[in-house]
Amino acid sequence: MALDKYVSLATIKLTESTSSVDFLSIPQIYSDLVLVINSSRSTSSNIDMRFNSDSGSNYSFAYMLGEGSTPTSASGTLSTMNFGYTSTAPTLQILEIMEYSKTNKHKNTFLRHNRADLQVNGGIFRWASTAGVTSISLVTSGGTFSANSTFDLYGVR
Amino acid sequence: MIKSASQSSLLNDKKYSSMLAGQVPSSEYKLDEVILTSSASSVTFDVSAYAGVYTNLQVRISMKADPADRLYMRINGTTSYYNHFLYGNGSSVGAEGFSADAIRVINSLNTTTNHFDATVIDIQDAFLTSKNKVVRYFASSNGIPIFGSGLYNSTSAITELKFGVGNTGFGSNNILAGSRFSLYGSN
Repeated sequence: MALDKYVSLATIKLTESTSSVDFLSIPQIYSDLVLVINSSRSTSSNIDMRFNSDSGSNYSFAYMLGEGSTPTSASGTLSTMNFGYTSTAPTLQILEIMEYSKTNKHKNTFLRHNRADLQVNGGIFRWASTAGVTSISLVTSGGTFSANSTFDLYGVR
Repeated sequence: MIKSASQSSLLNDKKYSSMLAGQVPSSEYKLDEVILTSSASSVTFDVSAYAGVYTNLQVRISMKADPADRLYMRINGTTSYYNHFLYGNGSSVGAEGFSADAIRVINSLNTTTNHFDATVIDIQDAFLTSKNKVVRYFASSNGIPIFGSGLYNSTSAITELKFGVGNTGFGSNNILAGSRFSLYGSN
């Protein structure tokens, strides 16, 4: 019998504002992870995501972004995986973390980002590490996540 | 206030039907998986048994090849497809469209050690005989994000998906050990 594709690992709904959200001790038994973030922020800020608390410049990124006029693209390497906001408007991000537990592969992450007022973004990240992803930290670069923001983590079999 | 989730909750299995925001809840299942333990010239899924059981198919791929050209997908062994994709190369956003003997689902494979390129391919109404088949994908292609689509201009039900690596079209370059191809079905 075929297995259900998704397993809900954790659901976090903020009851008050906070500047950080963490997923800890992620089991290493799934093929991929999917993280769904539906949030708003108290100030115009970004979300910075890290795996395993790695603060080295080990995260490469590239994106294509539309904000109502000529689309733009950028790429580079940073010490965090950064999703742009520049607004307090509600945003939805769906992140697919491919083969997060494989110890012979760097970790690819797909990002689909939609901002309610005016923004759509397709991006990728690569964490240049062969360590399994055992924790995910999310912090705002300024202000806080607003109450009722949700963070849902799923395992993909 | 809860703002972190640790092991106790992460090991609490709960079924979730669909990831797509706004989509009517559905059922999605893992159907098959190929993880190469040695190099192969192609990877094939026989999906004929899933007609009438599932509506849509998804393939999740993480792979390397030598030579590192491009990953293509053929449906039912046919050799005529339309391709279009949108990409962001780090300085600008561009698009391409072309015909080929297969659907190009990773535009450029990299050669960096331990860096596997990835793509997630969705095929809607894979078995419906009243529709031509549209394929969409989101690829991490040598450090470039790509939204792509391919047209299999046929109303035939899909019976086979075959993956191969080549340059201008479907080829037989070595797909390297460690590459993973996972097949999912949904209703």
